[in-house]
Amino acid sequence: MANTLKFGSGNWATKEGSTLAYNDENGNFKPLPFDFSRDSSATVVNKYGLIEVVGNDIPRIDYKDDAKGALLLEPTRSNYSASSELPSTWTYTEFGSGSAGTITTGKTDMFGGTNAVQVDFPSDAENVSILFGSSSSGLTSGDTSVSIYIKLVESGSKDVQLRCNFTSIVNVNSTEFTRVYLSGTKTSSEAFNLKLRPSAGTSSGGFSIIVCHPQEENGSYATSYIPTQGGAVTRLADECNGAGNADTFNDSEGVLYAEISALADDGTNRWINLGNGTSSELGVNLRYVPTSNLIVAAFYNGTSFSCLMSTELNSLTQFNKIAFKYKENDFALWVNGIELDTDVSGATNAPLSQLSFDGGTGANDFYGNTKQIQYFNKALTDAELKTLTS
Amino acid sequence: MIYKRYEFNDQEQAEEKIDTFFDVDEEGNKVQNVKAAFIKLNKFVLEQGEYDEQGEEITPPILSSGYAVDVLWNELDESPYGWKSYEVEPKNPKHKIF
Repeated sequence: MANTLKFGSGNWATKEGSTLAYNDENGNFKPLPFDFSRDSSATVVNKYGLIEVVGNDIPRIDYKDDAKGALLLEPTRSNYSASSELPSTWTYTEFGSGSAGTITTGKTDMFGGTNAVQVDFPSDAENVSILFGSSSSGLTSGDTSVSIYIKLVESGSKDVQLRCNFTSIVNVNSTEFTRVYLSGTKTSSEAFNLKLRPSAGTSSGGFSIIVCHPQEENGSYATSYIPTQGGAVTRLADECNGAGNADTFNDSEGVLYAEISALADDGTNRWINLGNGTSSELGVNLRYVPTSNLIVAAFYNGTSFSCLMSTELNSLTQFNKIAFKYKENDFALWVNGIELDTDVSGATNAPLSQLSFDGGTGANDFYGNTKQIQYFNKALTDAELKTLTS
Repeated sequence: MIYKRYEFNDQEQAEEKIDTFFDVDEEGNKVQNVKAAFIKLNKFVLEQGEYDEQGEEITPPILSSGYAVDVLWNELDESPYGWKSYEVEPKNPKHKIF
């Protein structure tokens, strides 16, 4: 067997318009880059734990969850919290009977800049709102997610409320910035705000927090931060496809291995396809599908499925090591060291020439995190598959 | 590549316009047939509303009329047929591409 394509696993090389997959068999290095596009800038958490802006068409390697990094692919989203980088416009409003609190600007934020603010809640604070520059939002209906970086000034554990027409209590227990999230469905124009309201279940006052980078976005889960300065801003979708060539892949047998996680279990199709780039879903497919936490491995020969296997993951938003072996009358799906499905009937006769983070022709984009991809041009043994996915 | 703002009468009209740039494949997936990014903006806040301590609206915000859509046309130099008349050019744009 030969490992004819590698991608990631801490070995990242990116530039405008591409990210590098490669073949390094026998010490001979052959680049097999993915084409990459995104028609806007975007942000990512870098190796130092800070948020960094990257320009158009530059792939993002995200170090938020892992020191080795992961390719981050996201859909189009807009931040409707229109003054997220204008903390001088943020306000402290006491609706209840408590004493006035204070906001202090100029605190160090997640970019390493000074757009964070410290909020000091007096001990008798009741029904306080921190508004991030506006009380109304242009996002008035539908799936909405809000997020903000927050930390305590002094160690402890405090509950605050996030609200944006819908509400929830979140716990803050660190003096390092943590991003907290809330998703729901909006039916009014109320803008994202943060509250301290002991009568509604938050902690009592008498403590201080530092917050930065509020985001109110149109979707059922939060995505990477989009800075705003007086108006809504949109980050456009990532597209990554076209790695390898006909020499890289074996039409009749092989193994596609991916260490991946989804951004959310949101009931959408998100596929990785090894095909020819012109026929939808032709060839080898790994798919997140609308069914919750299901991973599907499929081989489509252009007219029918030679193999269609699936298994339920514990959580598709956690990283899983997934290998799909395809060979005539010998298909297997391995996840995290365990063979979870097999199929002993089916031909393998599709032309395979490129690997893409979509369904093969641009639909069903894979939005998620990818720590690594490997391709082997021979069917691996069970022992090799167990080792690979463990 | 051009970046344009459009304001349609309502969401239904906007969706109809956008749908013309999608085909449906054998699996029922909508596949875009033009290289473009459609950003559905809906309405803009022209004047802030007021809310009570429960978050209930006291004074509604004043929102822009119509249904706004921004489009980044990657391979066009001007709006496609049927879109030109819906172009708007706000003096103080309340939305932009990152």
